[in-house]
Amino acid sequence: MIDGKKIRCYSRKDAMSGRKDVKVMEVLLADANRDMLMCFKKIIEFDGHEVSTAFDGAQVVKMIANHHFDMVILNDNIPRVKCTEIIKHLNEGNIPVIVLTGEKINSKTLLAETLANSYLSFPFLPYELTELMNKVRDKAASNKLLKLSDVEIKVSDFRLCGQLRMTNEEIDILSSLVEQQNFNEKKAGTYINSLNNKFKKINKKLHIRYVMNEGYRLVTENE
Amino acid sequence: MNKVRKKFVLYAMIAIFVLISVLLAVINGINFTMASEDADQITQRIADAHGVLKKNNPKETVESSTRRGPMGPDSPEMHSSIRYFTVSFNKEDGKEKLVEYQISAVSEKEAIKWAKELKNESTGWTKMTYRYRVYKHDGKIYVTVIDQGRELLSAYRILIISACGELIVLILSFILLRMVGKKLFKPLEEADRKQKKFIANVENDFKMPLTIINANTEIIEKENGPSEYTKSINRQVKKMTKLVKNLGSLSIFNEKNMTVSEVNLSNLFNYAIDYNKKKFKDKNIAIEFEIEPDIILNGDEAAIKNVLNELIDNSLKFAISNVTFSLDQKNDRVTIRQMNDTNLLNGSVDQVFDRFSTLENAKEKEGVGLGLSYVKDIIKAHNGRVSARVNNGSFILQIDL
Repeated sequence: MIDGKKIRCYSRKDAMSGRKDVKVMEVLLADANRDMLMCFKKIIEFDGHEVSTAFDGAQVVKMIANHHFDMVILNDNIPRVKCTEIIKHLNEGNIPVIVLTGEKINSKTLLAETLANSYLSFPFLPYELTELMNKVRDKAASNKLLKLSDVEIKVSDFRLCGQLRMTNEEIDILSSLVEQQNFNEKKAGTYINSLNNKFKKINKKLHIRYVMNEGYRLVTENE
Repeated sequence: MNKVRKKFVLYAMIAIFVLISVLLAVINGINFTMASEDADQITQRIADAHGVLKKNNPKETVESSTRRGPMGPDSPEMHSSIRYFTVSFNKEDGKEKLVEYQISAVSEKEAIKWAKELKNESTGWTKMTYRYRVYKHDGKIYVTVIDQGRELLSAYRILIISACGELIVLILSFILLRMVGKKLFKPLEEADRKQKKFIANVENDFKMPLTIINANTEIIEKENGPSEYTKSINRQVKKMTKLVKNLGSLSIFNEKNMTVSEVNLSNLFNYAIDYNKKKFKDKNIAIEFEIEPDIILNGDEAAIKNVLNELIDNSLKFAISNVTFSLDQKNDRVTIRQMNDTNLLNGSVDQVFDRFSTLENAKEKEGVGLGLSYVKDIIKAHNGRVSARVNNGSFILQIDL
């Protein structure tokens, strides 16, 4: 994961493509660790975004009440105000959230508390965060409509049938499945499991199944 | 740890139950035998007098203390306290005659009816509390039946009291054992908890600093350009990240740190096999699989993934030329099976599941004997069973969930 080549490659690309085609966002970065705030503020600023920082939950609540941010990046054990409460509040305002977590991501946590638009678990590389930010932003801005037999998903509101929230990764996998594109299958297992659980929860006869030599396929149950 | 404590209480309870039961069975057994013997002594005396109970000789006992002693066969009050009847039958025509009738609880008609039923027996209990004896005298068959209700009542009383006593002792010892168990296992539990917490803490406390070091190195590289030293930092951080990730699997897996969700086992298994196909091909191992689709299981997804990968790793290491994986479900029982050819001899090889234990064919391979013990831990936490055996040159590893 930590790959020196990739970092350098990214740095060069960043230096060349620059900040022209990237839409500038106002980002709120919240974490209790000041070193974390300092370095990732810089990293995100390299991408041309404007970064404000907060070091506890109360401050985050205050800041999002007084100012509109395009995206919030939040550590899941931020002190004073519970992370989930902040995310609920942000969801109401339709502000994309990325949650940084020390826990391992599994389908249960994804199913139970898919409040955020995306999760990133420690330890991660700087470019992973910035890439994820771009992806989430693109998703939130796109008007793409995914059609699965009897389900329609509007990508921008991160919701399955307007009910269950889906993460960025889940939408990515679903859209690759619908459009029959390849995706990173090695990392997908957890998300596919949670997707299957969600289909079940809303009683859709959809199902993702692994087919030998072909990879994951989206099927309807009676097939 | 909770499981160990429960086991301790259970075994202790079984031991106490068995001990007390044996003790009470012996006591009550002796009590009932003695009651029977007493009754037999009386019927013997009636038989000696050909169907009639005679008074105990008052001359022998008139001054003796046994006169006021407890009621026994020798008590002078005996002949008036025993309720009984005797019926005789002629041997030739089988005609019955009521020889003696000293009982109110049984009517004369009933007495004769009972006697007819008992004619061919010798001695024993009838109608719960009546002791009978059949004997011959002068060409006739005599049947004597005595009422031992009072004596048996006390015997039954002792039986019931002892059964209640046992129940009370069991309940008390259960409460006591639970209290003692908690105290006994407290230090062990504490140590176990601390160890797990320590590992989890170390893991978590290392993760964020690693992320920050990475980010800071990135900033330095961007501002001053990459150098040997930043590359070195990246290398070392990479090494450390790997270590921290491995630390997680060191902590022993149990039910408490499981995150249970619905897992599509078929998907995971298919994917794991597909992903490793090339490795099997490189080692010239033919691989077959029979996997039922859409078998759903409640369990820890990451752990189950690891189990499947361990099975595949294991077969990659030890299969000689072929391996078969199968997954099926019968009445809620999910069975995962790995079968590969081996040069091991027939028999059970369950020791592969012990920590740090390997079979002789593993000596030259890189195994340290941890993989399958990890599998066992996980399967046990999912209330499943693992077994391994060698049968005619094939190694069979089976998991029942």
